[in-house]
Amino acid sequence: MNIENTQSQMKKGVLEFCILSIIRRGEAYPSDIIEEMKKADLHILEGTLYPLLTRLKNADLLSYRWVESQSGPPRKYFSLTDKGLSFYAELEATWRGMSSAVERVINAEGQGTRDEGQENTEGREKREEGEQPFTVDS
Amino acid sequence: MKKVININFQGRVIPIEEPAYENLKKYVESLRAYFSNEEGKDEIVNDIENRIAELFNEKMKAGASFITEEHVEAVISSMGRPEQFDEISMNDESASSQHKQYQRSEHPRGNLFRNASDKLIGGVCSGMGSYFRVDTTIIRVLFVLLAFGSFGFMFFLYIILWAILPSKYITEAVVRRKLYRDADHKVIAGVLSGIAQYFDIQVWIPRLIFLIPVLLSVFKETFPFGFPIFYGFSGSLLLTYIILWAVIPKAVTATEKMEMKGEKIDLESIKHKIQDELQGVKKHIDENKDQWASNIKTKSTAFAEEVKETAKPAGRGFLRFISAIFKVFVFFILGIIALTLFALGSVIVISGVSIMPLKNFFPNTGMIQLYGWGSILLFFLLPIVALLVYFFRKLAGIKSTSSWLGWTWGALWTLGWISITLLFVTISKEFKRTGQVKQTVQLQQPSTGNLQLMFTDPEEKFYPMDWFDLSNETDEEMAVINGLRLSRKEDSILMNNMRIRLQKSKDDSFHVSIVKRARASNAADAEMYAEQINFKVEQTDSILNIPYGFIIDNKSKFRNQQLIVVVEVPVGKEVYVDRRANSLNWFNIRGGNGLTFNMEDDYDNESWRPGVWYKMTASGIERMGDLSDPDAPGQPPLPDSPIDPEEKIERLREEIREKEKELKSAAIKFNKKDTTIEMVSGANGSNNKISSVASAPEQTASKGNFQILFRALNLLKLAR
Repeated sequence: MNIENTQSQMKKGVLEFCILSIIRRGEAYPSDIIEEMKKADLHILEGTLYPLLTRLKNADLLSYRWVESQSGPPRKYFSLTDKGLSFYAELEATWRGMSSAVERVINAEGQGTRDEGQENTEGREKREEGEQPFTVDS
Repeated sequence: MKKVININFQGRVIPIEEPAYENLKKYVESLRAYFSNEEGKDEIVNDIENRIAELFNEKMKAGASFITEEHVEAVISSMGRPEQFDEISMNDESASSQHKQYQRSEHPRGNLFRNASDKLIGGVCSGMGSYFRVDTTIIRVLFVLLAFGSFGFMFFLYIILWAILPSKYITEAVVRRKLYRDADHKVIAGVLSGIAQYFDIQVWIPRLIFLIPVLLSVFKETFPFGFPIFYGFSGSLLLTYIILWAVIPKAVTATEKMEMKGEKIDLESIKHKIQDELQGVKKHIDENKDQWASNIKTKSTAFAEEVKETAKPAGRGFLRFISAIFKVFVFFILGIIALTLFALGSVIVISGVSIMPLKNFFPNTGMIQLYGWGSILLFFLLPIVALLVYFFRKLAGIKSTSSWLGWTWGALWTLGWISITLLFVTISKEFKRTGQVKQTVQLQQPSTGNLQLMFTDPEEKFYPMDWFDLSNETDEEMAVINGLRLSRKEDSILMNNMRIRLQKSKDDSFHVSIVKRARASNAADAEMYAEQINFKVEQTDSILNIPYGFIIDNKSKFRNQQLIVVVEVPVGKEVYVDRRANSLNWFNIRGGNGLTFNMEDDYDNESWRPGVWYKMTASGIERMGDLSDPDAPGQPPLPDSPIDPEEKIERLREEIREKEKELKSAAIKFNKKDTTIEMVSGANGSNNKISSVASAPEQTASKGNFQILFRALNLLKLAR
């Protein structure tokens, strides 16, 4: 079990969510997405973004339109579809639930083992809920 | 200077350096390969290309007049290479597992085909490579090696496989490991690191294997056995490394790096596959017995067609077939030649290393040293390496893109020619003039009236030069073959480049003088070197003890020193020369205009032979005893005569028995190794006790016995 693997697993889980969240704010161009992620200290390779966007688009979560650009070929601007919006809402709910659960677990240090156990169970349930959309769409 | 070309990239005209374009092309191809199983693969690659085009545009707007390699490199690193995607990307589980599945089952092993899309002759090796998922080059090399080892069996197997296996265009590159040089983890050129990647082992393993012989050579003093082998072995490894360096391509692009790390060669799965297949074949045979006959018929027709295809330009019908077979044949012959050359190269390295100790004795001015190394490396080894490289590159299907390699080989070999010429010229100079010194030995006239020349071995032990240093035996035969013997410390050599000359004395007493000769670039030096020859003759009454060879230390060097012992025998006196004079080596090296070397195996062409008593008469030297009877005591058979050694021993025993009458007692004890002879002779009225202990090497027991008996005989004669 190496740390890099675990880290990349964690990252994988939230990337899709982050990308959808950026697009939700308004039409976005892939390199803008990269920029914004960079600002938030989430570094990803551009080459990995395109396949992800394509996959989300093929799952009808995203749509795009061509916009003429001065600096080169026409650009693809992505926006959320209705399905994408509800998908995002669900993800957000899962995230909020999970992050507060995780916070509680982390901060529960030093407290009774019984409490910890309860929180763990809670967290796991939430995660299972949250994971469902992933498995459906991929 | 790089060529700039215009490309149409995503609908834009982009001026780009040619090498940069190559890199870009490879990168896009690697992406395409990576996403080949993705649903919207074209779209993804298109998007990425689009983005790249945009980035290029930005660069151009910023003032670049064309796209350089650095630009492409920067773009690629911001986009990420495929092998980085798995590590960081958010490709979900299914995608990456799909990817793995692609590697495992996309190209089902299915049946063994010949690969029509990548073939040198019939595509057999290539097909096997894709079947076993091993780099085709390795299969080819193995095949050639086996063809060499099995004396052509593989050659027939190849033809059989060619005939049996169906041909198929295996277009998609099978995901498998390819042997590359790993430039990212290199020490010298990344050869060993690449090998480690290929076999999926830790990189220190091949490195250790390559280093062990070198390390062992370093600890030479600690392990005093068989060292030239290790030297030679490490030399061959070095040669191998250089060849691999030249043959294996470097992994530059992402695809190549991926191929390098590729899928694990899974022996277990190959085994299973073969087992499955064998069962399948059995079933198949049971089910389709009848179909087979007709099948073979069609197949053989198809094969004939294909052989014709292969040999197309050569002619029609039967001729075509012959030329196809010929092609295979030539190919294997070439392989055998290459391997022989490799062996030869190794031998040169090994033997070059084993004469290293002798190096100190050559007149070695810096120039000779330089030319010597130049000739060994550039003249002898280089063409071998070049041919091997050429051959293996052919096997690996690498096409040379530039001609500089050929030019380099050519230039270096020319240097080799120059240095070998200069080497001969320089050496020849060193042997241009002869110097001669004559010394007279103070001699007491022997009381018996005759003189016996016997050889004594030097106190210090000298060992014959053994090419492979496998044994340190002091075998007489070895010394005869090699002529030169080396001291244990390797600081002096024993040479028996000497002669004995018998002459008529001017007065009525014996005279002995020693003529010493040496060669050098000028007469004065040559004389000086001749003077330096260390040679002392000792006399005990009628016996003249002559050292069996003279010693040269590494200060005076090898100067083709020669030595002549001149014995003047007065008329009416007898003389005897030790039989070992037969194995003296006389040779000549002459410099000046060219270098000549001649060797006389014969002891001397004079009218006498060693091991026989002679009497000096007014008309010259005369053999004693009856000439017509070969068994006469005065004429023992020569050691060189092709008579069975056992027979010789018997004959000598006979002689000794005859002489025994003069003996008071004689005891000869034969052991396995040592033989002792003790004799008490009463010939001169005194009780002389003569004893001799000799060692005979085990292998040549009969020869050893022969020598001992011969010595005994000499002792007896001495006692007379």
